[in-house]
Amino acid sequence: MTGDDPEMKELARLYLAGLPARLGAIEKGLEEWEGGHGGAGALDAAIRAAHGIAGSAGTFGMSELGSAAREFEQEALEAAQEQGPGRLARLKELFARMLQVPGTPRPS
Amino acid sequence: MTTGTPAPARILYVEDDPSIQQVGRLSLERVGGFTTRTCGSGAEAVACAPEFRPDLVLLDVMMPDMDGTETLARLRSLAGLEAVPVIFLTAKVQPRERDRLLSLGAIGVVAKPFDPMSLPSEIRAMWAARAGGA
Repeated sequence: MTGDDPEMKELARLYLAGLPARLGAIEKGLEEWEGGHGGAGALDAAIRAAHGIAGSAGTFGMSELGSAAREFEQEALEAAQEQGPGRLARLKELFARMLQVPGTPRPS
Repeated sequence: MTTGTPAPARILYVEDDPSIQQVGRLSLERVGGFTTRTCGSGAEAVACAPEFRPDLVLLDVMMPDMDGTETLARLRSLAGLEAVPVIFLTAKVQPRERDRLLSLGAIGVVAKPFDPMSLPSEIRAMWAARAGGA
């Protein structure tokens, strides 16, 4: 099995098709956290989505996105523990960095 | 269960992310040649493990409802699976987390994301290291 394997290619296609929803979960979580809706649970949803991308993107050849997601996850975990000034801006910056990675689709 | 054999033949693979589960299954079966049963949750793994009788459990750590460590504890409470070897899969690769997982009795920890081409050889190396250290 290689990256050229038809089944692997199909899985990669499906993964890419599912990425907008994963990114959308991060975006929604950030928005809810910013608006005070959903409390810490909102950020938890963003953390889970980022964790999933961090642990999977590299398997599908998107290592740069995976690294960016890991950085977001780490910052969000710290923010969940201690919500200090600048946390939200930093998270937004890290999320924007994820979206800037070439080949990354828009959130849905 | 065939502990002491040169390589595991039957792997119970527990992963909640469908995308990763599918790639992992392909890797284990087509690259590794293992007989694989995939489960999407810890509860499903606990339900099907007694009948499947795995040589090895490949277990994701961060799962909703029942995480990997709790799943391991429940699996090991089942008759015949008290000593089933386990390899954890985790996206948290810090040494402290790795040490924690090994302290639970895992024979190895595979970092996510994994390379589907090399996952089987990683598993075989961990199995061999365990056998050599036994």
